[in-house]
Amino acid sequence: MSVRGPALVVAEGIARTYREDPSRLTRVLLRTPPRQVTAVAGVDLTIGTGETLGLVGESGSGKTTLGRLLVGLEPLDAGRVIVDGLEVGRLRGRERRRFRRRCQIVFQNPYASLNPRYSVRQLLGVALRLRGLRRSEQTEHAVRLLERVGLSRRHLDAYPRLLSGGQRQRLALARALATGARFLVLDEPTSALDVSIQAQILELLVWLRREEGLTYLFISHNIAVVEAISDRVAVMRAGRIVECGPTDQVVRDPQHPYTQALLRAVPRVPSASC
Amino acid sequence: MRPRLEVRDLTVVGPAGGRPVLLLRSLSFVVEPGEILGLIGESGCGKSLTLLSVLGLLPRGLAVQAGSVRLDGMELIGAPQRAMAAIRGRRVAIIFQDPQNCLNPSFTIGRQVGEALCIHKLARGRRAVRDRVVELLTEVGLPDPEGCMDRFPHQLSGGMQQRALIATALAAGPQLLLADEPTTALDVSVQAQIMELLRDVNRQRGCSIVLVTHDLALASQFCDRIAVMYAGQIVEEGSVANIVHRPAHPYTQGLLACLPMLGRRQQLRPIPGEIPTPDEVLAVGCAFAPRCRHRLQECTSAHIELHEATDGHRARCLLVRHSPQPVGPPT
Repeated sequence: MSVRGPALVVAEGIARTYREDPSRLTRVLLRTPPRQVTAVAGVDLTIGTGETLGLVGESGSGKTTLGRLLVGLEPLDAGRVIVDGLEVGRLRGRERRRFRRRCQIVFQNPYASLNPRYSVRQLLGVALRLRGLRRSEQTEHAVRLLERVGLSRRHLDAYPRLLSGGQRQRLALARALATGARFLVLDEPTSALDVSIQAQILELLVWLRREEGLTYLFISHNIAVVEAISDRVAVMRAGRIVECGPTDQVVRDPQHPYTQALLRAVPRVPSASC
Repeated sequence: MRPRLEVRDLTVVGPAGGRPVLLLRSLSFVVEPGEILGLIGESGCGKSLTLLSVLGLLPRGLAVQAGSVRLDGMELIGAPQRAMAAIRGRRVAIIFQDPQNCLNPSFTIGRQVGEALCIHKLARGRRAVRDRVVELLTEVGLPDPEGCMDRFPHQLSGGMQQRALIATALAAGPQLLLADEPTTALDVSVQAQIMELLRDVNRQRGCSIVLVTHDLALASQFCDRIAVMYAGQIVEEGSVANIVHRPAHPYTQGLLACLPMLGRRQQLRPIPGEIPTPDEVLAVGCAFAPRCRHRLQECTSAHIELHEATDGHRARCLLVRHSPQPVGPPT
């Protein structure tokens, strides 16, 4: 399988299992044993520098957990993840902070991922401080970031509630870039947005990737959106990647029956003959 | 034939920051018996509000200022509550987006599906109600209908909950089904099954459906006709083929150009700007004008009617009046 550029992200046999502990009462009364849910069950994955890997799957397939594992937001139960030469699970202290700056994640719901009590200036300030910028330099940097994502200086003192959904997602992107990140996990970044706004954000993502030399893991349940932005696509089901390949190939000639079923279910506009 | 549903010049006002704003602006459309109409639009354009107005269920503070809603010729605006209660469920029913929030978690599926039967006195006695509910659950394709009767909503998956909700809506045999984003909360594979079920309902019961969705691709696969809404107005309506292949309104063209569609790996072309909130919409002229790349000077000053592009295909755009040919294809 071809990977564009040298690998930036390498995951080998990674796994994550959650234990769902029933409350004590149900445990005693119903004698329910703790239930185990394997969210990610041994995934191998490589993302090249400057590449966008799309990750599709239905709800509960483990896409989000996989994304979180790659940026070290979840402990690994097995396997290892190496991003830009650093092994995620082994980092401590200064090294770990350096790693955190390099990988960022943008969440689905910009209404929930931005602290409503922080102004735009403060939200970006937190991230810029991590990069070691002094307060005096922060404003100038914040403005530059806002302009990069299509916002401007006049948004500096706004609070998230005053921004529209699209503007909030732009802000979430600016914050992710503020740390100097090279690798972004985009977890359904457009599914809370309207289609006309979704297209704006996708266009911005493509532009930023080229300008900043970013690498993306783009997670979505919508294979049409993934097709529009990804170089390669990985299809996930029940914690495993069932198919992975160049986008055109996966969409035009899916090999795995699950991918075929997924593609069949996507609504399409009827052809012009009618 | 008399249309099943006829909405004429429906205008709904609501408060925004102390002063009233128009949320629906002189909305008119018709649904024929057995027809599936798609109401398309982005958030805040008034699609859901339209359905709620039909049912007489507008939220507090919102009111119908003008217009008429006729169901099989009977006027619903201003109809007494008792009359509306007899109509809701019996002649027109609605299914919402999120089945989890629509089903009561503390009652069994059987009881909730049977409720409409009891209210409209369509079945008497436990046995009769139970038998009828099992039939309904079978019709909507729930596996093990007898068993589902006694289960609670949380014991069913999202897709099964939506099937159960459709059964509640169908219980009293309505001839018009309003479906408000019925599959938005579901995975694509489940979405396909639910849409297939709705199509079966339409064919077998001859039930008209109004499908509200933001997904133009979904609507184009499922509906007979499509009406595109923007800022509380219908900006274009026509057959699926006309809307999708010969869109006349720049907004519809924009929507098509920015909709990711499988296997057509084209460059997405976003519509610039943002959707206006109701208090930002211009009092005169076209609400889409600030975002429109074909904007003319009169667009913001003239009152703009729906202009006929071709037979049954109408768009609220001056360009259609200027040229009977639709403006350039959305390449």
